[in-house]
Amino acid sequence: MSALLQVHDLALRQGGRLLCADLRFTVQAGQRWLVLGENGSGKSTLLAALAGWLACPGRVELAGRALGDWPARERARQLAWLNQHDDCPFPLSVREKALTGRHPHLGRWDWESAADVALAEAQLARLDLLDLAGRDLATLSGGERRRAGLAASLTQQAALLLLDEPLSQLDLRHQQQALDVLAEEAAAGRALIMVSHDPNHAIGFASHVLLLYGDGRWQAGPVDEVLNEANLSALYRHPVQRGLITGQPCFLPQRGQPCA
Amino acid sequence: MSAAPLTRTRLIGLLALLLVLALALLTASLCLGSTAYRPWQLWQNTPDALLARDVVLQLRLPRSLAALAVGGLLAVAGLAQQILLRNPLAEPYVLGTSGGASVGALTALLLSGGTALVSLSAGLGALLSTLLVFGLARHDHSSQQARLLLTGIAVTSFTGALSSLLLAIAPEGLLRGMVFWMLGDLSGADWHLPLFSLVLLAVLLWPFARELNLLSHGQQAAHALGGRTRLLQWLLYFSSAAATAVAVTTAGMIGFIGLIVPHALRLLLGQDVRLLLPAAALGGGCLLLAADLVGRTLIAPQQLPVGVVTALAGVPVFLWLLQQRGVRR
Repeated sequence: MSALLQVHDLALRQGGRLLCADLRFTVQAGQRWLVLGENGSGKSTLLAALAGWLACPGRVELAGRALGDWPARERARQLAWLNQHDDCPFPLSVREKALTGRHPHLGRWDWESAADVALAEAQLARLDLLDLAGRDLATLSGGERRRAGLAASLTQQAALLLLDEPLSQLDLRHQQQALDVLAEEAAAGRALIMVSHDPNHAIGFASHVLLLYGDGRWQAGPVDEVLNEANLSALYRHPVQRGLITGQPCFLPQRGQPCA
Repeated sequence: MSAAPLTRTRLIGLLALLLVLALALLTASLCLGSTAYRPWQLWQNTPDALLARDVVLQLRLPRSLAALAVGGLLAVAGLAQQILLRNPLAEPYVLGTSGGASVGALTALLLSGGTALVSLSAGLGALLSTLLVFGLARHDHSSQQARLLLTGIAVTSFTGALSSLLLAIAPEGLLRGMVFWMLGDLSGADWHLPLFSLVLLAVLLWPFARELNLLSHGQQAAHALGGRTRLLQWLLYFSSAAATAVAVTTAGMIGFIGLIVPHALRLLLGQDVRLLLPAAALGGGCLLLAADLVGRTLIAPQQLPVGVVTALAGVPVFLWLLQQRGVRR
């Protein structure tokens, strides 16, 4: 059986700067990847390339077939991509936003069925959004809009989810809730590639980590092998220490001397 | 206001309602005018019957059908540009598309081109000005997209100046026909081409309506959900330019229909393009027909060009919309 996603020799560039060279990794069903790196290190660019939005040198295969060879709608049934833009210039209710995830599953003349609405509302309920289902996105807070976007990606029911900072702007409880939901999705056999700025999102969640250094270098592998003090300190160019809180590992940045 | 998701039944019901409104306005338009002739006189055996036939069937009917079709075209063009540019304030008149079409038409007239050449040239002008505005403003990712509107206003001024220039160098004999393009007037307008174009565009665009919904949420989001964004964008370019060109060659420059109608429909019916597109085609026609009716009867027997009526009503609405957007965020 072929892997869900295979990346060969991918090069990421932004504005003439080489961010990542010869990137190679393989994602299997059920794996949970966390992508870490500084601002501007190419995390979002990577997801855009994997979503088929940006053409980059290299090869990306989705379920054994080159990404570019997939018809758009079939690709969207395999691959969901949540980007960082939540704004919508036209009023749109949270329920309608979640329902957009059904688009690739509907034929040209089909309408969203009661089952589609039920599926969308189930995803909203998982993310604590059902009470807001009728509200306009523009009236929500940033974190609520982020969760509505995540609900739409879940409604898409794709085998692989590319999530660009799905947890940014979320409060502590909703971050944990979203992580639980994503872990459930992975347990059901979906693969996840999630961008984050918090290495602790890996703890108890990620199976693999991809570090992007932003200068061409990268590291990819199982979380136990890649996620350590030395790598994170080098990645963020700031000392990071690993600690244990009630037996649970965590990473904390070292604070300098506070100003007197 | 319309939290209930759109269903097929709701769609058909609402469109039927709009169709009834259009037919009612059409009837009113056939009955009213600067003369007192009425349609039912056609079937009376009076000396007036023949004159009534001329007024109702030769003057009022073609003009009313043209108003319905041109209004529909402008509203569809406005809707297409709003989706394309993800900006509810986009509109062919505001963005200079109408101006571009007008310059194209005037140039062809000045070169003594026939009807076909005038239409083609208007279409080219509309397409060029759309591409110009989009090309100049495409890198503006701010939520307000101020650059887009400013670019549109600049292009509108520029095409206005070009039109004035063409009028200034035009020979006396051509002048009257050319001024018509600047004003927006439905008297003597042909209804065959605009009505055919409207039906064609609606039939062409409607199958893509659900994908257009996604596109109005953002290109990347549409791509992620399997929408063919490039194809859709070109479709919207061409249909908005073609609709504007046909509208301008039929009735000259008429502003703000493409702004008011989609906006009002969004407020009343919700955001789903599957409903908005046919509703705009019908609703735009209704509004322009009503505006023309006002223009014909308000100071009868004198007539106001319909472009004056829509601008007088449209500018306050536009300013109000700008104000609302400031408040929302």
